[in-house]
Order: sequence, then structure tokens, then C-alpha cells
Amino acid sequence: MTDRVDKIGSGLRTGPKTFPWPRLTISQSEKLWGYLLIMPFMAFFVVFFLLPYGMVIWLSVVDWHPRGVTEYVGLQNYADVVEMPSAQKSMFNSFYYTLMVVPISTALSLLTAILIVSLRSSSMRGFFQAAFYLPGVISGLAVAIIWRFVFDFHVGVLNYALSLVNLEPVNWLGSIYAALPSLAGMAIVSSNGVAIIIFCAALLSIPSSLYDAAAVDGAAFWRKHWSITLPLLTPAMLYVIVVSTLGALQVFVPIYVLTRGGPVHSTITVGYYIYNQLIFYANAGTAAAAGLLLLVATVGFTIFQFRRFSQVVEF
Amino acid sequence: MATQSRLNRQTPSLLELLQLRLLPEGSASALRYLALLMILVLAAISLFPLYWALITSFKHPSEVATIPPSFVLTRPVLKNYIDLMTGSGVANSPVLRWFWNSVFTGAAFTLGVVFLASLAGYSFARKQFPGRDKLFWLIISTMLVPAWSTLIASYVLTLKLGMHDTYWALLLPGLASPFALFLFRQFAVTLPDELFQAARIDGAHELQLWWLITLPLSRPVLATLAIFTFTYHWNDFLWPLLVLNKPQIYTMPVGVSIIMFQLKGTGPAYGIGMSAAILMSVLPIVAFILMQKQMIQGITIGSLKG
Repeated sequence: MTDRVDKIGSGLRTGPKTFPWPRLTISQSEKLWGYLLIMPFMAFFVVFFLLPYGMVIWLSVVDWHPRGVTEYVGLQNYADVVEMPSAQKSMFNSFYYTLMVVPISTALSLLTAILIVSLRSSSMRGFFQAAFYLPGVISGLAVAIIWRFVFDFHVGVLNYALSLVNLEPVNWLGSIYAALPSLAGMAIVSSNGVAIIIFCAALLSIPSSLYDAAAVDGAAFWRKHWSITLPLLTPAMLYVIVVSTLGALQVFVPIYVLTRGGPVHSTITVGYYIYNQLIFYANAGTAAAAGLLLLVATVGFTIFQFRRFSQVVEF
Repeated sequence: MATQSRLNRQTPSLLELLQLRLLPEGSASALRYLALLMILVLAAISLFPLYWALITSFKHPSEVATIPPSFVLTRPVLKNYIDLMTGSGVANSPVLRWFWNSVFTGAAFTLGVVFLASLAGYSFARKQFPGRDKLFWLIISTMLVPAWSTLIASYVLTLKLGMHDTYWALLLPGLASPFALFLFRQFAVTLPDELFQAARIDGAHELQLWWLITLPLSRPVLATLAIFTFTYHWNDFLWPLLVLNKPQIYTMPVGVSIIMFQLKGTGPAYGIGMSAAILMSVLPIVAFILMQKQMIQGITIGSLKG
């Protein structure tokens, strides 16, 4: 044993303790370490993020069953999605819901942020930012459970409030006209925290010297806000709108807890449709086709928003 | 902190700007009170559901669903929480077990996500290698793609790998987090290069640069990341709902959703529902109260410095 160790040791060129690694230049070792350090992350990323993109395209053109034969069906799944009434309804509902939630909650968040920023003491500002963000840290499931009680036809606070002003009670979640707007209203009230914080930070980061300069140039109030506040708020606005559109198009938890898509498909959304196809009908092919259509629509929306904003504002 | 408040003082409020041009003398303070009033109303609307759930959860089941509702808590009792824990009528609902499952998986997520993101984030921020920036933005751009489109494939993948009904299916797809990578990389880029050069001259190994220099200096961002990761997975409902089907291994949200579908009668159902909602919210709320400064900074990093 000791003999062998000695032999190996004597064969080395540069001393007793070094192993004959290939000698690397500094930039080669820099590259090698760069790749080595991202390797663990990339392994998970490739398997669980990139591979599913490939798989979902494959799934969308096959007839897939958990324990059956998988056969190629071409564009049949897409045709099914486009023709199925529940799928059509779900796409319509998702867009309708998004168009209700995103503009109103963005405007409300901006208004709230402007009000918060206009407060004099910075501790008050901090307090209200925290107060508006607090309901956002609890889970969507908990929020939905709470609102189920608030929306209740007989014992909910909303109908109690209506009765105080002598109005007829509304069947918030049980009528085909009110259900989706009710869900949108819930989202508008309960998910503004992040947007408010982003708008506050953006408003506070506008240097006052810009306003001073504009005042020197004789700019009026609206002119100042049109030319200074709005352009400087654009990145934050774009971020908030893109992220909230992404969230609204995918809405699932409130639907699952409060209405299960009903009454008569009036609140079925794309997310809930995909869930149904995947879990109840074990129909991963149709689900994948719907998922890809959602992806195309979302990317389209995002590009549209980026374009819109680059038109409105010239830096 | 000191710089922060100095900056804030220099920034004129919008109302100050407003009063300069639009308002006659003396109306500024009235407007200020109006603004404060509006904020209070908005804050009350936003916080009301949480308050309502909190007081309802401590009411006796017989007082939960009354008309008119009582908006103050007169006699707090723990009946709803006890009913929730002991299952009262809903078979096979080990709530404490689910709570523990959520704590355990949340902690596992936090360790895994922070480890992978800090290692890769250090490399993306401080190493030079071909394709680095393209790769980074490729990873970040997946945040703009709806989760639903790949969720189906992840479901089929974990099913085919035989992971369903184990925590592997829950954990493995969530470990490489683009958001965590982004947050950590944005922070690590700002560390002074001199430190790394000095350590290299002293003979520090690459892993030592990560472990002994980067991580200790990144404590604030690591804490933010840990809180965000834990809260996100603690609250996550959809993915565990898809891959966990055995009551013993449910996480808290999945278990609670099952209970909610089985409860009958408004009084007990809403009482137990509110106590479940509060029980699910306690950890995120406590974490937020302890770490609100870091969390609010973490949110703005994503939107403004990107």
C-alpha cells in the first residue's frame, strides 16, 4: 500500500500534494467555474422548466391517457378546444375577467399610492404601505374562504349592508350575471398590495429637481404631470399591468373555491377549464392545447402592452 | 434608513404640487385631511375581510351567522379552532398533521431554493463565461409565461416519474426559481469587487468566495428570499392539489379545501372556515410584520432595478 502511494507521488512533476490537473489559464478557470456553479440550478431548470415546454407541445398533438396507448392525433385537440362550448366560454370569461380586474385595480392602486405619497410623515407612509400589503401575504385560498362568507346570500355582510339602505339582496355568486363581476370585485379589493408598493417607490424616486425645473420653465400642473410624472412612472406601470394581466388570465383558486365554474359555466375560466380537462376527464391532450393557446394569448397581450407603452411615452 | 428619510423629505408630495397651481390659499390643509380620510376608507375596505375572519373565528358557532351580524367580539371562545383540529364531522382530517406537512415542505423549499439560487446567482453576477447574459435572460423570461401552459406537462412528467403522492413531486419542480435567481443576482452584482480580489490573493477557492464572502454579505437579501419562498409555497394551493392525493400527506391548503367542501350548515361551516383561514394566515402575517422592510424592498427590486 505504502509502495503504491510512493510510486504515485514520485511520478508527479510539481510536488507531493498536487494531482495532475490540466493547467488552466485564469480565463479558462473563470469559465469553468462559471458553468460549474450554475450547474445545479440549470439541471433543475432544464428538467422542470424547459423539458415541460417540449412535452406540452407533444401532449397537444397526441391522445394521452394515464394508462392507455398514446396516439398521434394531429391538430384534433386544438379543434376540440376551439369547438367545445365550455372552452369558448372559458376564454371569453378569462378575457372579460381580466378586462374588469386589470384596469380598475391598476387605477385604484395608483390612486392609493398617490394618496400615500402625499402624506407628510414617512412613518405614516410606511404604516399605510404595510396596511395595504398585509392582506396580500395570506393565501388566495384563505381569501376565497373568507369571501365565501362575505358573499353569502343569507348571512353575508354584503347583503346585510344592502339591507341597511333598503336594497334587494343580490345573489352574488349564484346568479349568472353577478358571479363573474363578484369574483372580479373580490380580486380588485384584495390584491393591490404589490402594485401600491411599486407605485409608491416609483413616485418617491422622481427627483424633485425635475418639478422645480419645470416650474421655472412655467409649466402648469397638468403639463408637469403629463411630462414628468407619467413618463417616469411608465416602467412601474408596465410592470404592474403585465404582471396583473398574467395573474388575471390564469385565475383559478377563487373559481375552484367559490363557484366551481358555475352557475352554468358563467364563471368557468381557462385555468378552471384546463384543470377540469386534466383531472376530471384525464384529457391531458386537450388541456395542453388549451394551455398553449393561453400562452399565445398571454404573450400577445404582453407584446401589445409593451408596444402601447412605447408609443405613449417617448424617452 | 437615514438617507431614505432625507430623500423623502426632499420629494414634494403631489398635493404640495397640486396646491401650488390649482388651489386658492388656505385650502391645502382641508385637502390633506380629505386625502387622509380617503386612505383610511380604502385601508378599511382592504383590511375588513381579514378583520372579519379574525373575529368570526373566535365567536361561538351559534353566533357566527347572525342577522344583524355583530362586528365586535364580545365573548371570544376557541370552539371553532377546536372543532377544526378535532375534525368535527369531517372524516379523516388531521389538521395538525397538515400544518406540520406545510411547515416541513415550506422549510425544504426554502433551503433548496436559496441554495440553488445563491450558487447560480453568484456565478451569473460575478463570473465571466460565454452566453452568460443570454442564459440569464432566458431563465428570467420564463417568469412572463403563464404557469398553466407548462403545468400540464409537469403533471404528466411527475406522474411518469412515479412521484405523485410523494413530496418529490411537490418539491422538485419548484426548486429552480427564476424569481429567486433574479433577486439574488441583482444583489450580488452590487458587491464591491475589491473584496473578491483580496480574497483571491489570499488563496481563496471559488466555493470559498461564495460561502465566505458572498453569502455573509448577502444576509439581508437571503432573509428576504427565504421569507418570500416560504410564504409562496406555504400559500401554494394548485400544484399540491394536483400531485398530492393521500390525506396523510396533504399540505394545509389542500386539506382545508377538502374540509370546506364537506362542511354543512352556515354557522359551523363559516366558523370553522374562518378559523382555518386564520390558521393558514398566521405564519405569513407574523413573517411580514417581522420583515416588512426587507419584503417591501424585495418587491421594488423586481420592478425598478430590472
